[in-house]
Amino acid sequence: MVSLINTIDTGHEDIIHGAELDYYGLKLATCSTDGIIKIFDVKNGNQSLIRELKGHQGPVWQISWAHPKYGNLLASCSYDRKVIIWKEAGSDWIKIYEYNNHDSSVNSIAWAPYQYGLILACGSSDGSISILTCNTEFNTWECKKISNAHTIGCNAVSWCPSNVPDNMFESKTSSTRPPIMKRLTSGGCDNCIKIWKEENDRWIEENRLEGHSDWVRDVSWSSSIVIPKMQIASASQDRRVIIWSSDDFINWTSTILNTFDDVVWGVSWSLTSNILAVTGGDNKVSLWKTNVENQWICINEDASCASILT
Amino acid sequence: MDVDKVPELEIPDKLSTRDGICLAGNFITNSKLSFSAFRNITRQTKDVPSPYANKEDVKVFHLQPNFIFDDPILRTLIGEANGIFVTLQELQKDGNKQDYVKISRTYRSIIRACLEKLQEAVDTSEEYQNFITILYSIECIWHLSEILFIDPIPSNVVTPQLLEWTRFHFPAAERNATDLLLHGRDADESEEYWPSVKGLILQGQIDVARAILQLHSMSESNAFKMAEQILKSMPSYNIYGGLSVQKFRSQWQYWLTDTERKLSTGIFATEPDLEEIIYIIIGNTQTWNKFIKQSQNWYELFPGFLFFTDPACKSFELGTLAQCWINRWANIKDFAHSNFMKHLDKVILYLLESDIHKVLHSIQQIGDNQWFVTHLTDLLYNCGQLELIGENKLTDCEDFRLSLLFDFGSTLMARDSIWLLGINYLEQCGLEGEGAVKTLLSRIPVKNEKQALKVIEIAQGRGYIEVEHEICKIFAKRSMALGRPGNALDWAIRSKDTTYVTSITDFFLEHYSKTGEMLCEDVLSNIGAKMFVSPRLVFLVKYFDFYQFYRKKDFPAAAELLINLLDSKITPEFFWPSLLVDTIPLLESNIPQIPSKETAIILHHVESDLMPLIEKKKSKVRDNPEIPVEVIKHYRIENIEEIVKLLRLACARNISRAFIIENTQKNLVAC
Repeated sequence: MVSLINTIDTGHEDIIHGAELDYYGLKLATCSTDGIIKIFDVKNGNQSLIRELKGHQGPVWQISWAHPKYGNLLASCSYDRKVIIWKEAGSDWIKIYEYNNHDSSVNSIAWAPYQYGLILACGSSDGSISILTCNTEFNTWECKKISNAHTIGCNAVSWCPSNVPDNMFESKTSSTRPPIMKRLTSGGCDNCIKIWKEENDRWIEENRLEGHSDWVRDVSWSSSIVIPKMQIASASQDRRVIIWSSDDFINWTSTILNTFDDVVWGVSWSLTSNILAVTGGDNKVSLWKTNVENQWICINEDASCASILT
Repeated sequence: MDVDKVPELEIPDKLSTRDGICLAGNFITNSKLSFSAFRNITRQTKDVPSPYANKEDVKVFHLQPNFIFDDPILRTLIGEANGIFVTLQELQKDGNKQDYVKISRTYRSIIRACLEKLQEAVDTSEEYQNFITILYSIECIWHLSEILFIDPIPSNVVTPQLLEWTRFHFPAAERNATDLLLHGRDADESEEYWPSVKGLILQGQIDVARAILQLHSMSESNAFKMAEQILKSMPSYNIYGGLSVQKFRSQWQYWLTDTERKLSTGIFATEPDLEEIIYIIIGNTQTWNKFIKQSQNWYELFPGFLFFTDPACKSFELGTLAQCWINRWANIKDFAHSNFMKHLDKVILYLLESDIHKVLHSIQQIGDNQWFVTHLTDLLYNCGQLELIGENKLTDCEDFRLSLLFDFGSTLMARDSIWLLGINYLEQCGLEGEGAVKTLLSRIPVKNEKQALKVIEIAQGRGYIEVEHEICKIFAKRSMALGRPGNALDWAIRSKDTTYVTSITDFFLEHYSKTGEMLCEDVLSNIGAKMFVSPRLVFLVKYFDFYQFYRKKDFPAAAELLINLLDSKITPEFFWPSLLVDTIPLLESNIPQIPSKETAIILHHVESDLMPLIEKKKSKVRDNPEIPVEVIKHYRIENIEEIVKLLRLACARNISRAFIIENTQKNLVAC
């Protein structure tokens, strides 16, 4: 039923923390404890190493590809407190920006929806979140910082998709669209999930979602741009995955997707956000989907779950 | 196919089996997943190489569900089915029963055609046998669904249709019968004679069987004559025959008693095969048991048995009757455990039980990427049967259909060559589907401009402007990276993104002022009204016009345009030196080209635009003495100070010349 279409031997000396395909799925970037980032061409089941990017002095936790309208751009964050933006220039990769303004390991990075511009959010163990905005005309970077976003540390950041607010706040009578409201969610060691929004050029805390009893390890805003309900999935060391949903950004309701046998480390939405993949410490990756009664069911564990009508 | 077992795939990764390491999975797209070993890092984790460093290979795995429609033969199936699907949607749930029956038959006919193609090619690929099994199941289930749900007989008497169904799916007897009929007299010489006749009888094909019996060399014997008489007089239940069920049953009972009496006379003692046939038609338990033992599938003989024992049974009784028959069948076949039912066996039972939930549930597990369940559900929904058999839970049925269409459409859209078909399914799914189309359209891995244009055409046709713009931006960026600025400019203009167009236009202007070479003249001369997307582009196009006039030595037009450009307020700062240098030859030309007022304008721009720019550059050089910055140095500008002098001088000379001419002309007019 399922087959392995690619096996990439990364050649990293140590464990990898991220393996991201670019927008079209043609290039793979990996990052590892060995401090190196590698870029591979993956076409038709073959892979070839294009480049090794060396610039971090510690484990690289995450990498992220920017939207291709900005060219081939890769961001990386590391234990060495740095965030680096790399750019493909001809056959080479160059470092175009290095951000050094965190006091501790930078754990998570995420590019904003491309419609907002070239913007990167970074969450760090120093508890703060940085928002780096590039002026693409002059190639300069501007930084805004949310200090003390999560006490003890921020583990994950994820952006709200851009199309959501547009339709929802558009009143039928007025022809002018309200300004796009940028939103971001983050999860941290204070067991909280927070939602931030940009207002008058400042990032403010719009909401705080409390429901986990241990560190939140991952948050992911569903990429769906149409379902009138927004959803955020969060994974925590309390062994639970919670789905937070709202249709007005004010009231958020939580549904416990499941309590797992072990700590859950990661949540990942499919492209159209109809399936959620959950990675747990029990060495299992489970896939979840809502049935017609809006209940979450695991679709890869039990064949009988495939029943949707009954 | 063991469907109750969850398919498992072992990912060959040693690293993830080590202590403290697990396997992490992330979505890449809708159907692809990426897996790699994951180690949790906590505050306590020391910043040293992990215990596994340099011990195991570090791998990344990409997984994807198998997709059977990449095969060229099956590709035609998916393409044709898509066409039927679209026709069906056009009926908008408002067709009559005949429309839906026709659509159902068209679906079945493309399955049949595909099966035949596969059978011809079965030797060329190992997979084909598997595809044949899958499609055969689909055909069989679809046919029965059509009989029971899409084209139900008003009176609910289904035996004749069921018999037709078995004949279609167990065609051996019919095929042999044709051979025998062609053989003519003494057909009984063939080894296949008796098995064929019995096969026909078991499928209720009495008339054909009688014709073949006539071909037997002994057909004139008493036994054969008697058999013929019995078969001929057998009452048949026909809803259009006007007989009530009671009346038919009493007729049947009379005929049965008569036949049993004839049997007991021993007339068939010399013809045991003939005798067996008579035993079949009177439903003799032992005889039927013997044939059950020889049969392969439980449903093979079931319709025939109904025909001889309960021909007037109604479709809602089928479930109970089938259950009894299965018990008997399993008993005789010695299937002690209940697992003897294979997937197709079960689905057929669920169909006869009218348990549509179970049917739709089970057919999701056929390895066809949900092609069958999606199309059948959609058809049942459209002809209004899904809600009837779904116990009238309309919204549930609708949601179920939509979720199938959504998943199937998304699956197709993620495939390279058939993404276009996927849109038709997603478009049935309201806003959610539209959103998915937009998301997936912009993710189609376009390899070249031709493909990009195709995607854009589709996006345009559906009014997905943002998708079109996004792709254009990507291609503009890509063309720039490949050193094709003309192309990039074209794409950027299509994307209607002003910033983008401006930045590429700047590239053109900078290139020109540095090298004197005008890039991609063919592109520039074809921009036309599209230039208004960015003021900078307007400037470029107008400047290009000037450049053309100048080259054609049309100096008056060139001069006029140049003055307009100088005064247009859209000149980019960096282009002032270049633009002003262009005035020198016109100011210095033998025949005066620029009047006094315009010359003053040039001078004004030299002083208010060029000079500040030079000052700015100079101060930059002063502030950063370590960086070697040239003040302004282009191909035409060796020394900017010299140029400024030259400009001022040229202006002065021209203005004096112009004054003389203008005043003389005025005097002439005055005279």
